[in-house]
Amino acid sequence: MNEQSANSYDLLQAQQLLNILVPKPGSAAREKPVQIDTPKYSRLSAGELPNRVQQSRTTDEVATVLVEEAPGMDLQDFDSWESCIAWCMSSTRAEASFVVDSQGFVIASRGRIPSQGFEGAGAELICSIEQLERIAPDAGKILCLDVDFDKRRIVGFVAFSEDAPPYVIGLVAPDPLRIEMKHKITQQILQNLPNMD
Amino acid sequence: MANVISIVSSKGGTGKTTVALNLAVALAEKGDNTLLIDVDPLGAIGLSLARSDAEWTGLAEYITQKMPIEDVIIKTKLPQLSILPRGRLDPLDITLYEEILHSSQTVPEIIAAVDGMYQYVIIDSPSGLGMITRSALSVSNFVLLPLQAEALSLRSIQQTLRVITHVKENDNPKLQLLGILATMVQLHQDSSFNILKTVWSSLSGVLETYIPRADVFALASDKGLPVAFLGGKYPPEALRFELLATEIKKIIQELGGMTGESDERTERELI
Repeated sequence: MNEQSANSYDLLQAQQLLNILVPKPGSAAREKPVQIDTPKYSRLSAGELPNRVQQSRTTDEVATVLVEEAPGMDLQDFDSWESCIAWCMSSTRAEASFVVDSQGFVIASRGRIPSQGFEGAGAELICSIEQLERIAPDAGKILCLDVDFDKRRIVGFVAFSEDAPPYVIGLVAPDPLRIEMKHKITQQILQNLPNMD
Repeated sequence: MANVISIVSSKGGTGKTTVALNLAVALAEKGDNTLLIDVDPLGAIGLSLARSDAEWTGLAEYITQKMPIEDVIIKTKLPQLSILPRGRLDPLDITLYEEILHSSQTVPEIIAAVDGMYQYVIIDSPSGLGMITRSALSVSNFVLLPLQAEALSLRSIQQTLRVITHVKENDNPKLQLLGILATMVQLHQDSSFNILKTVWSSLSGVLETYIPRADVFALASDKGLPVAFLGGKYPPEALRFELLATEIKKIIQELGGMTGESDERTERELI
């Protein structure tokens, strides 16, 4: 028999885990927790995901991650939704923008406003977001929603806080927004949300 | 209250389904009402016993058609053994099936529905440590960890132990490790022997019973039978599972589980 082959296994951590899991006969579990030398696993659930696979984060986590992912970007100060959507339009090629509350009522708008207004579109965005979150309750909060129509699109950004109903900021633009730009806009909105009336 | 035992391993091909099926048979043959649940999207139990994976209704129909659970549980010719198969799941829907089992209350509802009917519920989980395995662990009282007697299986064992520890600490404090079961052991081969020797010397919680690699398992699979049901001379491998059932029942009793057995004996007269 080859006595040396046993040396190629690192079972220290396995045994440490077993020290917790294997109770002594007659006792259901160990009384004192045991310190384990956790291997240097990459924790996907600990905020190390690249942008393309992020999901299921709280508002604070999203804001934190977005700030970290956009280093060097100047944080804007908005004291009203009007100034916020004005900045959004200036940062994108949006031709119109609007803000609706959780009931779908438009509370601010700017740019090329269609004659029928954005009431219906805003309500539909709110309804769609609620529907999507019901379909996939474990997918986390929806931050952004794209609705393509004709040769344009509405990009809806969801601004939610823990203790208040969400707002949806809609940008009507001819071009799709890159994911980085979406993150920047979301970051600006979330950072300014407590200050806006 | 049923003793719910998940058979779990991060590595595929360690013999989870073979252990689950033959352990369930051994427990049932000892007179314990036993339910074998196949949550593996592959439907490995069905593949082991039926002619095709679309022969039996089961979990898939319970989920999609809301069939009552008692209508999808199969009574076997072994009176104490019932099987809840995976059902006629379209392989294209496996991702959805995994999400439903993980995010819904399906698995806890099933366990609650059968709780008073069986002494043992054996859950055959899929390979890996994904959503379904986590769901199975979250509703189990006990977990059995088959360890194939080869290097890759031994090196990956800490992954499984880490997930079990995490589930125990965060989701299901009542979860307890029954033990590590060495499978596919070939003592006449140096590599297999050395693995087993390493396991015995380095790890605690290794069961005394081990399952050897033997042609009889391939024969049983070919015939769609548990090894104990093969014709001819009773295979020693079936005896292994009887020993495993006895050892597991003893451990469950030591851990405070309900086996329905007591060490109390009434006095008898010899003459």
